[in-house]
Amino acid sequence: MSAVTAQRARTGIPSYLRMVPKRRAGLTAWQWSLVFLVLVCAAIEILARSGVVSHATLVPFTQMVYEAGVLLITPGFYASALFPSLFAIVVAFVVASVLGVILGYVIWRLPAVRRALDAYLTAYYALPVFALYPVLIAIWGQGTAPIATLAVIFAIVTVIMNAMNGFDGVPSIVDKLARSLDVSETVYFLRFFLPYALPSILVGLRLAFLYSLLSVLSAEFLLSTQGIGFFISTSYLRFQIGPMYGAVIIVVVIAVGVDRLLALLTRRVSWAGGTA
Amino acid sequence: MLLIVPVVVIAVWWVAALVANTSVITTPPAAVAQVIRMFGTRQYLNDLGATAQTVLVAFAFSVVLGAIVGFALGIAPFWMRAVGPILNGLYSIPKVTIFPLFMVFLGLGIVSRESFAFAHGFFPIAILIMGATVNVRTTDIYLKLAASLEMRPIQLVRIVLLPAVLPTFFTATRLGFGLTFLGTITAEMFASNGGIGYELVRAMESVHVDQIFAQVVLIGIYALIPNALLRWLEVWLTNRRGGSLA
Repeated sequence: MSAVTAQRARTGIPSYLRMVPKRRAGLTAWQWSLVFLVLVCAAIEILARSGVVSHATLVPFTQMVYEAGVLLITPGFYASALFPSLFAIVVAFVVASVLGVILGYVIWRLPAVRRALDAYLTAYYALPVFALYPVLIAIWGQGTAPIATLAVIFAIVTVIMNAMNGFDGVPSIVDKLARSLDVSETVYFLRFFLPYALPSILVGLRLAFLYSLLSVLSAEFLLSTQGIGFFISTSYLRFQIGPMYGAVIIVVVIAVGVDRLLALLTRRVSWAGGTA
Repeated sequence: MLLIVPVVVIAVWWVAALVANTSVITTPPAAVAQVIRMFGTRQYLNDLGATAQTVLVAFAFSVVLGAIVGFALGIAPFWMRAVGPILNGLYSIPKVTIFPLFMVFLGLGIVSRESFAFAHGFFPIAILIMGATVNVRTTDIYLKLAASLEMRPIQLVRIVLLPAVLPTFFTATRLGFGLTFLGTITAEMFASNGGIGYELVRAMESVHVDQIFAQVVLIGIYALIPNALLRWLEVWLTNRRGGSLA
């Protein structure tokens, strides 16, 4: 008997208090995730190849991967689509992260300012900030500058909020320990303070990356002459849905890949057993 | 205290408008005049109605389905571990990239916009509620108390789990509204057909700066009002229940 059924036979423990099984139908949870993913890909493959969904709408999964591969070996794609987007995303991410942590620290140290800003920071993501995109274009003209600026504006607030959250979570004993050891301000910040705040900051950074990605792609989709968003948009308008799906696959891989990487990094850094 | 931030923002805006060319940035009074003019036109009111309909339908669906899916996964930890990463993965994909897919499958009408906005709101709501439900499970004391009182699982859900998840439900609802609104405006900006986003894009393309600023201000107000309303609803319900939602 498995441990779970043995438990049920032994005692009258209700279902909600029993152990969570390690396997269902012989597969672990992780294997079930893979099963679901494979099922979805297979469904796309079958639906597309059988013609149930028209060829102008859906492309078989294997072809999507093939198109992505084709795009990745086309130098033109790198120059006109991939690099402009990635450049904007990375620049925006770095600026939003660094500036966000600094601003978060400054606001955290000034409780009056924090109280004034609090309601607006939490409501910030209700605002469609990229409605300001046309204004930025009017100021800077077309190109990477308005896109990167928009992405920074969009991403920075989550870094600020999560950084402040992290700074809140540093126990007061850390401050007392540092003072009793008589360390300098820099050492205190880098060796004592920051490690406690780091898990929350990393949560903010993860969201900042996603928001930068989202902003850059939206802006390119809307009003741009280069970038992956622009490529997907024009492919759709030219009915070239093969390359369109290829580019979508590339974006999905980048988004999920970097997100997972940052999640792993966050877990490695959560030494204090903090939330993340 | 609460008004300091808007006052500062408007002041900075005004100064920037005066410093820069007024054909690039309009002054606040000019924007307000444009707003009043816009509300006089039938066209704008039609667009407002279309947007409101899209947002409300998408929001309702994402809250209901998100809460159900999140809660269901939360009370079945095994399936949470199996499906959770997939939800997280889908959440991390920028929906904008798959926007053409919505147009390809669902056409250019209001249904594809509603589905797009729904996709924006569904995932974070489901993920948040899933996390909150599972948190109750890890707080063993609730479950042990329920077991010692010989509660059936249904009673556990009604008496312990649902009230414990309620605060997170409200937070998720507010977040979900913001994201659904964002998704709606995005969809309208891209698949120009009707709605406030479409008006914004038209103003962008004709570089009618007065219009642009007026639209942006209005969109900001539209986003903030429901957020405030939902917050007040939460506070009112909390007070009615005697200061705590648990």
